[in-house]
Amino acid sequence: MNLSSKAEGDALVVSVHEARIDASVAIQFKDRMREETESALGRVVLNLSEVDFIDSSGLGAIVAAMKQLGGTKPLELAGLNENVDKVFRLTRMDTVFRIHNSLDDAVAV
Amino acid sequence: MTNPQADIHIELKGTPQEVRNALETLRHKLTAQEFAACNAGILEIVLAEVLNNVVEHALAGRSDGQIIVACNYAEHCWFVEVRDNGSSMPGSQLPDGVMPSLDKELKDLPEGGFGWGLVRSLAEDIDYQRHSTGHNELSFRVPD
Repeated sequence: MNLSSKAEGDALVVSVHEARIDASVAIQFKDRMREETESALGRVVLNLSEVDFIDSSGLGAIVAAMKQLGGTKPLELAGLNENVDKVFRLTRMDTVFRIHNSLDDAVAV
Repeated sequence: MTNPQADIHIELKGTPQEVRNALETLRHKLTAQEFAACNAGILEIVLAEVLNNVVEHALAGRSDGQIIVACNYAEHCWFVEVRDNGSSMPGSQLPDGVMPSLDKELKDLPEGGFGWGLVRSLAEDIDYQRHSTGHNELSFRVPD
């Protein structure tokens, strides 16, 4: 599970360099998110622009990552393609996460 | 019946990695010329949830799990059949597919239970049969 992170303004941007976040990698994703966000001081932006598919297990792993961060370090999302966005909307998770139209928007906030 | 003459026919073992491979095969086949105009994304979401459910529940703890997927395309619609040799759905009935409530504290937000909600949101005419041969057969259609 290839993730990288970089401080951008007040946010830590974590980019997922994988095409899929699914049931076969959900646990690794959650563990890698914990490692990448250990140094986070404020909000974390998860950049999904390279991800073209998530299933409900992947969605659950992203929710788990948000819980790991606790309420003081919100997890926000950017770079959702049409199908990834659809999974968030159908499950109403778009009401839980702040979803930015682009990574530029996310870091400009 | 699931048959090798289907437009798309995929056989897999009951593991998460095999599900990923099967969906990648599906994606590859769906980008072929004859299906290039189809909305592959919805079909992929539905099949992912159906197959994950089979692997996590019907085939839980089994090493001999076998799943067959057949997809036929006609009149702007995918007709899908999924057959597996796992245990029966609880009560021989399909899950109701009600999405978990999100009206909770952060620490109590659900991390699962969305699979059948997604299937019921996106698929139509869902039918489930338990066969006396010890197989489950699920059929549904996904409008293009």
